[in-house]
This record gives sequence, structure tokens and C-alpha cells, in this order.
Amino acid sequence: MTEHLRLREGVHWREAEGRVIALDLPGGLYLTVNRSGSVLWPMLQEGATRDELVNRLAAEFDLPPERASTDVDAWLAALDAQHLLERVE
Amino acid sequence: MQDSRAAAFGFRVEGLAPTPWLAVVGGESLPRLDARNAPGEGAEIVQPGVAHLALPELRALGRVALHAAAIVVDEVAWALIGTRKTGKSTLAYACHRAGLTILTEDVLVLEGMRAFAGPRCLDLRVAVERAEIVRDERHRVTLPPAPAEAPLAGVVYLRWEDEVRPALHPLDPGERLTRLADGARGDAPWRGDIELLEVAALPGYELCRSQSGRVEDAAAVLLAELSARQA
Repeated sequence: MTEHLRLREGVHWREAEGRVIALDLPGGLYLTVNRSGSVLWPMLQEGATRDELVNRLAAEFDLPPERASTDVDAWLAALDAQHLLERVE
Repeated sequence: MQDSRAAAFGFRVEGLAPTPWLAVVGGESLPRLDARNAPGEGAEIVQPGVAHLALPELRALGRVALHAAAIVVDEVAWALIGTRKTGKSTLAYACHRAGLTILTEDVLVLEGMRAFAGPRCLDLRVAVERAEIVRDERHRVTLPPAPAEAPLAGVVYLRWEDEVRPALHPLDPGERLTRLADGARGDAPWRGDIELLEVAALPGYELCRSQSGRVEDAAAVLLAELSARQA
């Protein structure tokens, strides 16, 4: 089974002018997401695999796969540090 | 837009029997909130600051409140948000003098993105024409009636800057959220509100002006720019 990443329950967000702003209600934390993260964030609403995120980032910004992979891993690590993600099979 | 003289003297609260009003009553000695009396039937606003009394009640009813003034430009409301002594009330007064409707001066109550009218007076630190001097040496200006509510179009954040002409600059969504969250910090009922996200998603601008400049000039820039952006 492939692991899907999605936003934890209680994370609310809105998109404005191409940028995502969010509130982690359980943590009482407001967040602003950078422009590349804002492209990926909606995919985490329903759930996405790491590879899907990498492919989307590479396509959106015309990045080499290795660079996109590194950037996605760093971004997911930052979200994990804030306990914003859950993993489902 | 519904026009209601009475709305200007209390908070209109839908679904609250037997009247939809939450009024401040009791005079200066013991102000309290009263849902029984419609405004004009013994209700009065003691001072704009007493609107803060309503916050827990409003929160329980699913409404949120921001520490903000609000003006009406072309039938929509714009919140004016600034930290203490950023000239919020004085700017509101200048807008009033320029012929605009002041929806509220100190506490902006929202239901969804609908903004409700607040107390019908402005308390200023500086002396102005036709003002009544009230306690704490404030100068109170009575405001004319306002619409009961208006859709919130966006937020203007106030900031002092040395030696600049008044100017309105757009803020990105992240900066808007940061300023809203900072403004709510330390005030528990306002923290963690999903509604702040909604407000931050609306257009937001920073009004920079100099403390040595004329507030009338800042109001003129504000009105011209907001009208142009809505057109």
C-alpha cells in the first residue's frame, strides 16, 4: 500500500491571491505558506503521496526531479515538526 | 443595505428572544448588557469602550469581535485596525467629517463577513468642535445613524511613519494574518478564530502616515484609494 499524506483534522485554511494561510486549531497556531508550498497544500486536503507532490512541484516550477524531491522532503519535514500531517495507507 | 436608526444603539443579535437586540443599559454606575430592551427603550451606550462588555456574550453566539473601527465606503465596510495610539479614532473622525458613515469606532462585531454597527459616538483624546467632554478627559462626538450591518470588504492597518505623505499599500495574505493574529494576542476570546482566516483572506492595505501630517489628508487618501479599488 502507498502511504498518503494529508492534513490533520483541525487544520483550517484559505487561499488568497495564490497564497495559503492556515490555522491549526488544536495547536492555536496561525501559519502562512510560501508560494511553492501553496501549490502543494490543496493536495494535502484529500491526501497525496510524496511522489505526487514531487511531480506537481517539478511540473509547476519546471524543476529537475532531484531538486523537487529535496524541496518536498524539506517542506514535509517542516509540516511534520508542527504536527500538521497524518499518514494513511 | 438595511438602514436602522435603532441598530446604532446596540448590537443586533439574531435569534435572541424576545428581541434581536443586545443593548447596554444601566447608566455610568453599573452598565450591563440587556437582551430584553430594544434600543430606545431605556438602553444607552455609556461610552464606546463599554462595547467590550459584549464580547463574551457575542462569542457565545458565534460572533467574533475585532478591536477595530469601521467605515462604510460605497455600501461596504472597511475595518481600521491599529495598535493603541495609532490614531484609529481620530482617523474615523476625519472620515466622519468627510461625510462617510462610521459603522463602529472601537469594537467591530462580525458574523461571517457581515459587520455590525456599534455605538453611535466617538471618544477622542483631542478637542474637536461640538464635542462633549466626558470622563477621562475624552471628547465625545455623537455620530449619525448607521446601517445595521454592511458586508466587510477588507481591512486597513494603520501605521505611523516619519515624514511620509499618506499612502495606501497592499499587504500580502501572510502579512495580513500576522497582523490580525498579533492584534488578537493576549486576548483569549479572540485567539484561534477560524474567522480571522476569513478576514485575512479579504483585501488588506497598510495606511502609512506621518504623525505630523494632517489627518484630513490621510482620510482623503484613504477614501479615494478604497473607492478606486472597489470600482
